[in-house]
Amino acid sequence: MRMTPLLLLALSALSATAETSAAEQPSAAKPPAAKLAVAKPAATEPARVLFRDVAESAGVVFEHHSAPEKKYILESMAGGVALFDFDNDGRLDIYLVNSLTVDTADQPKTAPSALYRNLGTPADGTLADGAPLRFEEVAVAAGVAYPGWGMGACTADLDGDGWVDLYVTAVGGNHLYRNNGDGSFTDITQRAGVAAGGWSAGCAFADYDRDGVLDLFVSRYVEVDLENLPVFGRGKTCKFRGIAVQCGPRGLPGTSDLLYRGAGDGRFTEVGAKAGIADPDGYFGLGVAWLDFNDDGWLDLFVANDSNPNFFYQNQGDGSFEEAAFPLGVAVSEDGGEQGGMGVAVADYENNGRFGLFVTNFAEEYNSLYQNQKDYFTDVSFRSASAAASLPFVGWGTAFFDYDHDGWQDLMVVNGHVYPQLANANLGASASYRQRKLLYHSRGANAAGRVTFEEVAASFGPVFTEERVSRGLALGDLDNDGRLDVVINDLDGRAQVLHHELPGVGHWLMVKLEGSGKNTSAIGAVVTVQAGKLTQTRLVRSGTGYLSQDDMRQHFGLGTATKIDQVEVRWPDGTTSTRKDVAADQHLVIRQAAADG
Amino acid sequence: MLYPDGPALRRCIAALSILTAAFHVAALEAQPAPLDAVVQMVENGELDSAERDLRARLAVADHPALRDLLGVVLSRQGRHQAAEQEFTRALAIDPNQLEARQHLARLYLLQKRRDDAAQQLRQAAQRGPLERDLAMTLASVELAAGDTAAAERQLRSVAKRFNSVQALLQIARIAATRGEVDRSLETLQQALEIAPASEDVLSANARTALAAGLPVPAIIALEPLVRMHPTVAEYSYLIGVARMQVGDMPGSIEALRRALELEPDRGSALIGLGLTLNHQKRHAEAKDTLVRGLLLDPDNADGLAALAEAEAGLSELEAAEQHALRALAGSAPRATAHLALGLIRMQQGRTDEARDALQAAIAMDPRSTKAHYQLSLAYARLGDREKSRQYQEQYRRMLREDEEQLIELRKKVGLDVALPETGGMSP
Repeated sequence: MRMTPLLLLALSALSATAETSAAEQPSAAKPPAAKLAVAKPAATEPARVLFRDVAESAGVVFEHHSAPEKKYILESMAGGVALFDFDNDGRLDIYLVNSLTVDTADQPKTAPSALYRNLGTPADGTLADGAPLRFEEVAVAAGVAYPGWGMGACTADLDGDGWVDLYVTAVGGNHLYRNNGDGSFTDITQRAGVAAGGWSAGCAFADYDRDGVLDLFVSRYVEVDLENLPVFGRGKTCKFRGIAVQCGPRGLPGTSDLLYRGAGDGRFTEVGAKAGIADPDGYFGLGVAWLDFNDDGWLDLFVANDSNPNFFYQNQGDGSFEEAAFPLGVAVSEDGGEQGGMGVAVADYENNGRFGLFVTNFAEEYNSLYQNQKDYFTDVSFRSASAAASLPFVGWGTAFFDYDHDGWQDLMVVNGHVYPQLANANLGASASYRQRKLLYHSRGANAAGRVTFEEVAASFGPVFTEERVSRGLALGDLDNDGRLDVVINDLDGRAQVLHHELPGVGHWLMVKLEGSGKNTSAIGAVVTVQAGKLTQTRLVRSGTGYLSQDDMRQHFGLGTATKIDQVEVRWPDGTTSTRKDVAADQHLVIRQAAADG
Repeated sequence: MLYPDGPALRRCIAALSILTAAFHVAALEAQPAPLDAVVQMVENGELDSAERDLRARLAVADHPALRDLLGVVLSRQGRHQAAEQEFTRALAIDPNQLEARQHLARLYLLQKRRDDAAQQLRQAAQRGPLERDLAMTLASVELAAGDTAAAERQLRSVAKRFNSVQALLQIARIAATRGEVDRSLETLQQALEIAPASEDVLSANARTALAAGLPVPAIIALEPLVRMHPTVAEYSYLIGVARMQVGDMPGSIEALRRALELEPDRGSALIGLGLTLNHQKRHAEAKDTLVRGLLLDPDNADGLAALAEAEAGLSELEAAEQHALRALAGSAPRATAHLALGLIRMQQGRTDEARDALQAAIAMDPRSTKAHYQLSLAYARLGDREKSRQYQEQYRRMLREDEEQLIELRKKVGLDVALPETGGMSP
C-alpha cells in the first residue's frame, strides 16, 4: 500500500503519542477510532526509515572496550545485550555487556558494563532535542558494572519475587545478580553455585524438568590460559587466506557445557553429565535456545556450536536428554558441512504453531533456516530465499520480529568479521571486516504454503547499510508504542539503539505474562493469538539471539485486524488461559494465578 | 621415427665400425670402399648404391650388423618384406643384436603390426636399453596391457638416460593411478626441476596433476602459466578447475570468469563455473551459467546434474527433476545426477526414493560426503536410526580424512592454497 503524504503524517503523529502502562490489564494503548483510520492492509512498500539510531540523543553512549588488533580470539567474541525492566516501572531497560582485553585482563574496571535505566518518553512523545527516549546509566550504583571479562547475558525472575534477575556470562567466572527491588542488585553467584568458570558464552533459563523452578544452561567456548595464549599468526589455525590472524577456535581445546538444576532455594546443582548434555568433546558452544520442538510439553535445547556440528538435546521427560542434532537435521549444513554457528533465533515463522530455528554462521557458509516438520527439521535456507544474501557475512545477533505488523515474522541479522586484519584484503565473495546488517521481509506463505523471505536492508537506508562490527542484538518495545525497537552491542564502536519509526504499519498486540509460582516471567510459556485467518504463536524465552536477551513481552503484528478472536496461553506447567475478543493495539497482561491456572 | 635417422643411424655406424675392427678385418680390407662410405651413402639417400655395396660385402662375409644395415636400406626403399628378412637373418645369427631387433620393431610399427612390434621390443628390452622413442612406445604398450611395472621400468630408464620430462610425467601419472600420491608428487617435482619455465612442461604437469586428482601441484604449475600467458583461456580454465578441487571457490570463480572473458563460448568453463557457484550456493547465478553452458554442450552430464542441483536449490523441483533424469538417461550417468535426484526427492518428501538415489550416488562415488550425510537424514526420517548413525559416522570420518588430505597436500608442496571454509574461524 502506497501511503499518501497526508496519511503518513497522520501515522507519525499517532506513533509518537502511543504509550501504555504495562500494569493495566488489559490496557488500551491508543484510541481505537484513531487507528481505524489507518486500518488498511499492512504496509507492503517500505518507507525510507524503519529504524533511527537514537543512541546518542537518548543518552546511550556505551562503547564496547576492545583491542584494535584482536590478536587473541578472546578479544573477538563479545558481547551481548539484555533488555529487561529491572525497576518494574513498565519501561524496558538496557544492559550492555563489556569485555576486557589481554592487555587489560587484570584491570576489571577498565571495561564497565552498562545498565541504562529507561526514563520514559514525555507525554508529547519527544524530548526537547527530538529524542523519543531518554536513559540514564546506573550500572555502578546498581552493582552490575564489573562482571569481569563479560560475554553475554540472560534474565529471569529466579526467586519469584517479581523482580527480574540478571545472569552475566564471562571469561573466568559468571555472575548471578539478584534484583533487590530497590534499583540495586546483589551478586549471589557463589551462594547459587553458578560461577561456571572457564570461558562461558551463551546462557538461558528454563524449567526443563517442570518442577516449577527455573534451571540454567550455560554454553562454553574454548579453554583459555591467559599466561599461555596461542601466538598470533603462528600455527596452521592462525592464518586466514594466508593472512596472519588470531588463532582458533580450531586447534584450541574446547570446553564442556553446563546444566544447572535449580533446587528452589536459590541454589543450583550442575547436572550436565547426568542429564546427558555435558558436551564431553568440548565443542565450541555459543548461542543457545530452549524450545519444545515437537510439542510434547518438554523443553528441548539447541546449542549453536562454532566450527562443530550443532547440538539438539531432545528432552526425554525424565531429567535426561538425548543429543539428536544429526537425525533431526540441524547439526550441519545441507551439504554436511560443519558451520560456524553463532546466534540462534526461534520462531513460528510459518504461523503453523511449530517453532523453526535460524542459526547465524561464518562467512561463505550461510545462515541456516531449519523448518520444523514436527518430527524433524528441514534445511530450507535456500528454498526460503534467506540464505544467499548471508553468504558474504559473519552473522551474530539475530531475531525474528514482525516489523511491518502484517502478521508474518520478519528476520534481522547483525554482522561483522572477527579479523581486523582483513579490513583491506580482497576476500572474493566474503565481505570485509566491517559488515552491513541483513533484514529479511517475510513474504508470508505462498500458494504452496511455503514461507519465503526477501532481503530488504538496502531499502531502509544507512542504519542497515552502514558497515559495523556487531555482535549482540536484542529486541524490545523501548517506548511502549507497540513497535519493536532494537539494541545492538558492537565489538568495535558504540552501541546502537534503533527506534522503530516505520509509518503505516498494521495493528498490534503486546502480551506480558505473569506466571504463578517462582517462574513469574513465565519462561517456557506459549502464547497463541488468533486474529482473522492468521494464528500466530510465540514462546517466552530466556537467552536469545547471540548471548543476548530480548524483551520477554510477546509482540504480534495483526495487519488490518482490530480485534483478536482469541489469545491462549499455555503456561510452563501445562495449564492454559484463554482470552476472547481482545482489542488490538494494547499491552495485554495475563496473569496465571488470576486466570485459569 | 620409424627408420634409424640422424643419431640413431650414427649409432648404427658406430656399432658397425667396432664390429669391423674386431672381426673379419682381412675380408673387409678387401672391400672396394671403407664402410663409412656406405653409411654416408645411406645418409645421402643413395640407397641403391648402398644396397649394392652391402650385398657385395655380405657375399664376402656374412655379419649380423651388415644385414641389419641392409635391412635399414631396404626399409627406406619401402621394400618391407625384404627388410624384415634381413633383420630376421641378423637376429638368427646373433639374437642379442639389439639394433636389429629395434629396427625390426620399427618396421612392424610402420606396418601397424603392433603385437609383433611389442614382442620384439620386449625381447630387445631384455637385452639392453631401448632407444628413447621405442622405450616410450613399449611403455605405452605395457600400460595398455595393464603391466604398469614393465611400463614404469622403461619410463624410468628413459628418464634417467635422457632427463625426459615426458617419461617423468608418465611415471607420475602411473603412480597417481595407483594412489601413490607421494611418489607422484615427487616425480612431478623432478620434472619441474628439469624444466621449470617451459610452457609445455608446466602445461603437461598441470594436466597430469589435474587428471591424477592432484590440484595443488597443478596450481603450482598453472600460476606461472597464467602470469606468463594471460591471454590463454585454457590456463585460466585449468587453474579454475584446480582451485575448485582444493575448495578455493572464490579463486575458482575468479579464474573461470577470466577464462570466459577470453573465450566466452567455452562450454567447459561455463559448466565449471556453474559447479563452483553451486558449491557456493549461488544457485541463481549457477543456473544462468549452466543454461548457457548446456546450450553449447547440451548433453554434458555434469552440466545437467549441476543444473538440477541449482534448480533444486531454487525450489524449482519440476525442472530440477527433469534435468536430473536427463543426466541419468545419458550414456555416462554421473554420481552427481543421482545425488541431485536424491536431494530433489528429499525436498519432495519421497524419502524412499531419495534413499535409493543417494545409495546410487554413493555406489558411483563412495567419497561423496554430501550423499552420505543426506542418506543419514533419509534413514533417520524413515525411522532407521541405526543405519542413519552408520552413514553419519561414515560421512564425518570422510570429512576429516578429506580435510587432512588437503592439509597434507599443502604441506608437501609448501603452497598457501586456501582451504575450503570448514566452519567457524578455520583458516
